[in-house]
Amino acid sequence: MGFTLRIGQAVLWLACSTAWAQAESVKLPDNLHHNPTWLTLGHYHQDRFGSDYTSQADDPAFFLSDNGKTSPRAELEATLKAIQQPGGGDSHARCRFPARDAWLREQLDLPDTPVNCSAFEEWAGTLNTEKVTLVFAASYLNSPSSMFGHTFLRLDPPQDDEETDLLLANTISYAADAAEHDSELLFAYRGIFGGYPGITSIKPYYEMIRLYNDIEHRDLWEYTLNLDQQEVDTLLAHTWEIQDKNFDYYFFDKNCAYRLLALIDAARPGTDLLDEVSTHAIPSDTVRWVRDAGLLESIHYRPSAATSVAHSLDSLPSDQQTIAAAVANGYVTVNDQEVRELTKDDRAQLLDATYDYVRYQSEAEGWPREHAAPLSHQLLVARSQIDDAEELPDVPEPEIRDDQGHDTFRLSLGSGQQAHSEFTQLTIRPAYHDVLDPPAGYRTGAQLQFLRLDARLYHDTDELQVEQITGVEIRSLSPRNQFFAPISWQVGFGGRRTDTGNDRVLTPYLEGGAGGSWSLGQNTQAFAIATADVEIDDDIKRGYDVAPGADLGLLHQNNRFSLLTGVKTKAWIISSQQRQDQFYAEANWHIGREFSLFAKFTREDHYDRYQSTWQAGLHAYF
Amino acid sequence: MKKLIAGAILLGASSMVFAQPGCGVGSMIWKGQSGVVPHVLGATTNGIASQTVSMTLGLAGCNTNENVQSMAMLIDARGSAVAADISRGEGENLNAMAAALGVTPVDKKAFFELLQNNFSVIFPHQDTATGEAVDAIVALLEQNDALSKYVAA
Repeated sequence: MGFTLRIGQAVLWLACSTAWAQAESVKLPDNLHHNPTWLTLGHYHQDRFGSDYTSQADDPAFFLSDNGKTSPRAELEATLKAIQQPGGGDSHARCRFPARDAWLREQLDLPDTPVNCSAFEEWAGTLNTEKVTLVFAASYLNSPSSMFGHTFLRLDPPQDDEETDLLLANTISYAADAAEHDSELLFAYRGIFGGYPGITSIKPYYEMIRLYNDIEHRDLWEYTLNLDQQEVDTLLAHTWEIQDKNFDYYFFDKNCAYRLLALIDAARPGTDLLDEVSTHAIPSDTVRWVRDAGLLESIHYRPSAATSVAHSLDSLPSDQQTIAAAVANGYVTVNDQEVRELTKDDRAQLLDATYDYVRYQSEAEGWPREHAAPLSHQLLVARSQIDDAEELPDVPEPEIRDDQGHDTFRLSLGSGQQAHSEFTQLTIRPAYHDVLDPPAGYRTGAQLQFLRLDARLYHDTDELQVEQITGVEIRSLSPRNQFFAPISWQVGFGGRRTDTGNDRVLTPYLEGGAGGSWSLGQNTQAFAIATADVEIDDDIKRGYDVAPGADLGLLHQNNRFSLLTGVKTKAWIISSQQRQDQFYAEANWHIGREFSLFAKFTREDHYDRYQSTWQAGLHAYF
Repeated sequence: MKKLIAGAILLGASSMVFAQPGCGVGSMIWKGQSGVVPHVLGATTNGIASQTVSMTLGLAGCNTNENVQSMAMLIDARGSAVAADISRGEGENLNAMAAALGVTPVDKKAFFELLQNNFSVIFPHQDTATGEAVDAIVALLEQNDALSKYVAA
């Protein structure tokens, strides 16, 4: 359908261009086609080699000139000519490109003759936007494509309009149009290499809340921008210009966040948010850029269903928590004495918390409908009979927002000793977060590392060695309790230096694990994970080796320091047939959210010998 | 290596927010794990554009009041949360419903109370679907002198 649409528009465009009359000539300032606003409206970016500009739009319908994609000047001249044509109507250049029209008229002092653009005006009128809010959906570790978060724009109607409500406001969201049956891995592959068209969808905000907050349990942060009405109108006008146009979707850079930055840049010329993007646009970083560019007016926090439910249950006194669990699991009914004898407010809060919990379990844990639906109904019937009860306390806004967490690029320098060889180590990690990094603004117990490189220079031999290259490494440690029983899991692959008995060889590896974690107090959890490792290399006796194993440890995270310690064991069963046991301890002292001092120690028993390794150094976050 | 791929389609706002659904029942208020969104492949990821608006939504007799349809779409999307707000007599979904119907601030309290007091009429059992709930709400409003103006067809 998209293809037919493009052809149709291309035909229309060709038809229009052959019917042009001679336009009056207007004196064009020499360098107007290099004006940053013009370049932004045309999505022009400077070529890597040479000083020309090329537009990121890949659709002839976006351009009025045959050379539009590669020549800002040609496009400017063609646009100027087109907007000076008499007449109007939806296919006139003034109605197809209202943002360009408004800007050119202002720059060149052209008369602002009225024009009839009914489709655009109806569209803008329906959207009825006074303010634009950038909404950030926090990261969701269980899905690779959601790990970095997601951003979309909400178009807020005027506050004093009683007939609207923010839940009903419209949102603009860019996403890849992946085929329904594509697995996560296929999506990751195709998304990275531009295999998907980018689709812009407009949906009411309550739909986004349903998808992100309710189903995916992601907190939403609403950052209202301080764009004035004219800037908002320009943003909408430019959105109209790019609708139906091809813009490739690339997971790393030309992704959801990127397209929205382009819209904000068009609204307020000179902002240049796109300049911040080098190789990747991580959504939480883009929020930082918007904040640092002075675009924020106000911020509102919207906890996810998961966060709310956990908080509601937590705020019940512990004997009532037990009743809630009992009701949810069917051991106690809503009309039993334990519930009826509670005070009005307590009963209301118990019913509310239990209901939210049952709904959450129904969505997240797939509780059978035969149990959850009748129970949900009973809970609400009982609740509807209580008037004017005191509500459960709201989830407090986190002291540190997601965009205030440490920066995602980390550089580390340290020195240490392996067996008795001293070394200096440099680590480069482009993204994202480690359980020992400053925890504020990140999910507890969650770890996501991308393309991390550890390189060592050994002092005695002056040898530079790659110690480890991590392709991707993900870890999710979530404590279990009487209400929630998440699985703690981890997965990673890359290359690491492995001990073959005689030598240390850089070996490709794949590792994974699953298990459980239990809370031992406010910021501490104890975990037990069953692990599996695979290493493949010619230097290993049989070419590969496999090890089942276990990792038992303790994680403590607070804003001043974080600690990870425990024991690991791996039983290599194919090639070396040796057991590898390790005690590890690693601690970070956080200096604000820009630096950490770290120290680590491991003592390993492998190949019947003991070996200690320690290291200490500094992490810097950019 | 950039492939030219099909376009970015900006759906017209008017066609999404004020859709003209066909006549039907809509989804159940208390949905089960019916494969709506399998966890591993989150439909909302940066991700996948998904068909989330129920297209089978409608009202018995096909009430053509646009405001009622807006309210119906909200209920269809977040049924279990809307039902909770109705049972509590307050909440963001009730505010949104009031806005959708154009209920003035003066009438809001009466509107919320009417719905809370008639919870079992609106949601008679666990398999209640959106269409039934909306019809019941409309019927309640029609019978109420002060509020019937909001659902005039």
